[in-house]
Amino acid sequence: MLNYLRADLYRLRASGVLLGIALYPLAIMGLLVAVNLLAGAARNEWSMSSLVDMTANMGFGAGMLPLASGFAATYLVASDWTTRGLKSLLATPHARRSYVLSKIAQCALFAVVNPIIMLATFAVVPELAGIPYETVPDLASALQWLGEASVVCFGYAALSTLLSLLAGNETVAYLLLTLTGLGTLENIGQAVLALAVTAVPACTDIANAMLSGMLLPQARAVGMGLEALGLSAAATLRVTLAPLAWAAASTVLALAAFKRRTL
Amino acid sequence: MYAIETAGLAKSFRGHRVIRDLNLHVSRGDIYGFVGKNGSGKSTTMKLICGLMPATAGEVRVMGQPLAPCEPSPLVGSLIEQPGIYPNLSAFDNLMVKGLALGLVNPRRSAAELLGTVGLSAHAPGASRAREKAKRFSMGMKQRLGLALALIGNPDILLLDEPLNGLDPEGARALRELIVRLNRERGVTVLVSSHILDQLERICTRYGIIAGGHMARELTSDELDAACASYLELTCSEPARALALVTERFPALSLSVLPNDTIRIDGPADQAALGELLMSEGIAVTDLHRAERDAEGFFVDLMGGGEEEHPTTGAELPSDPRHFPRR
Repeated sequence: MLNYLRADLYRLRASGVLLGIALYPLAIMGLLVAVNLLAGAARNEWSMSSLVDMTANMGFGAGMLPLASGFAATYLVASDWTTRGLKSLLATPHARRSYVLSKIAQCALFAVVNPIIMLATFAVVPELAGIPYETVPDLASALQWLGEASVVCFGYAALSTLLSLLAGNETVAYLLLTLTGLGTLENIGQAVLALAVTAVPACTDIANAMLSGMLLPQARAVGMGLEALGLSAAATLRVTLAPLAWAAASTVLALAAFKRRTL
Repeated sequence: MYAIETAGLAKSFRGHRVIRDLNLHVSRGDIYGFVGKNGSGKSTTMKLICGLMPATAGEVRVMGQPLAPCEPSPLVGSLIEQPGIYPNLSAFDNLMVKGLALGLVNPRRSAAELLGTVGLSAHAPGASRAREKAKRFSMGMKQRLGLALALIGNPDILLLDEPLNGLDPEGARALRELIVRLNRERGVTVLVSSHILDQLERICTRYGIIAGGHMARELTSDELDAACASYLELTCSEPARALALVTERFPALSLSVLPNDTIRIDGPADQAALGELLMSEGIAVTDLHRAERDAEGFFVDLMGGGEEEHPTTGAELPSDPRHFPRR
C-alpha cells in the first residue's frame, strides 16, 4: 500500500494537482476578499466575525472541504479509468487491495491537510488585506474543531472514492464526487427516508436513526464552527463515529467491489 | 515447466462464451505468436493471464505456479490494448509512477535506463525533450513507452497485445528488433498477438492459433515451415495406383489425396523422377507441378477451422486431408 501511496503522491505532484489542492482555499478566500473590496466595503467597516466560523461556513456550508478532500483520490481513479492505466499499474500480487487502500490513505491525508490549509489561508489572506477577525480562537479550540472537521472530511472522501471505483468512468466519477461533496446524494436519501416514513410510519425510529447517522448532519454540526464545540457528549461522539463508520464501510465495499472487477 | 500454461481456460460474458477450454503452452525463451481473427479471444486470453479479469473456469500457471483469480504474477509485464499512459505526465514521470508502485529500489535509474532501451532517450531527465507530455507523443512513441512500462521491474515474461498496430514500417521494425533483442539478450519470454502475420513470422519461434475461443493448433516455427513448404500436385489417369506406386518407391514422401483426385506430395520430391516412374508404369500424367503455400493461407485456414491439437506430440485429428500431410 505504501508503494502505491508514494506513486499516487508522485503523480499528484507531477500533474500539478497537489499544487491545485493547496491553492484552492487561497483562490476562494482571495476571490471573496477581492469581491468585497471591489464592492467598496471600506476596510475598517467590513470585518469577519470568527476565523473558525468563516472556515466552517465556507468549508462545510458550501461543501468545499468535502469536495477538496475527495478530489485527489477521485482524480487518480478517474484518470486511471480513462487512460486504462490500471492495466499497467496492477502488476503485482495483492495489487488491487493495495490500490484501494492507497486511495483511502490519501483520503485520510487530505482530510487532515485540507482543513489546516483552509484555516491557515483564511487566517492569513484577510490579515494581509487589512480585514480583521472579531474573534480568533485559542489553539485548543481550533485544534478540536480541526479534528472534528478532518474526521467528517475523511468520511466524505472515502465515500467519494468508493463511488469513483464503482463508476468505471471519469465523468461519472466526478459527477458522483460533486453530488456527494455538496450533499445532494444525501438529500436524496433523506427524501427517500421521508417518503418511507410517510408510507410506513412504524419505521420512523429506524429512519430517524439512519438520518442521524448520515454524513450531512455531521457536516452541518461541524459547519457551525465554534458552536460545534459546545455540543453534547453524545452529539460529539456521533460527529466523530458516524464519519469513521462511513469510511470503514466505504473501504470494505471498495475492496470487495474491486477485487474481481474486470479491467 | 512452461513459462505460461493454461488448462481448460474459459471465459463467458453474460452467458456468451468467449473462451472455451483453452490450452496454451508457452515455453521459456519462446517468442510465441498468438494468432486469431478479430473477436477470437486473443485479448481476453491475455487479460486472463495478466489477472485483469477473473476466468469462468480453468487455470493459468506462470512458471509452474497457479495464479489466483485477478492476481497478476510479478514475473509478467504486459502491454494490453492501449498503453495505459498518463497523458499529462512526461515519459519519465509515467515510468516513475509505475516504478514507485512496484516498490523498485531505484526507480529513477530504472526509468532512465528503460527510456534508452526503448529508444526514448531524448525524454530522459536532462535531455532535450524531458518535459514533453505524453499526450504529444506519436503512436510509435506511445507504443515504445507502453513497452517500457511493461518492462519496468524486469519481468521474465512479456505479454504484448497487438503491439505493432498503428506503427509505420520503420516503427514496426524497430519494435520487432527490440523484442528479439530482449528475448536473446535478457532471456525474456514473449507472448505476442498480432494480425500482421508476416511481422510475426520474422520473430516468432512458436505459434498458437485460436479460433472461436479455442486453441486450434500450436506449432513451432519449424513445423510451420514444413507445413508451408512447397509441394507437388499430381493429376493422373489412375490416382489410386499412382498413390501406391509412389508410396512404395519413395517412402520418404508424404502423400494425401485432394477432393478432386489430385495427389499432393510433400517432402523432397524429384519431379522428373516421379514423372518417369508413372510414365513407365503406363499411368498418364495430366498435370505435375510445384505449388507454394504461404503461411498466411495456412493460418487463415486454421483460424477459420478448429481442429484439436495435442501440443506435446504434434499429432492432430485431421478432418480435412487437404491441410495435413500423411504420415
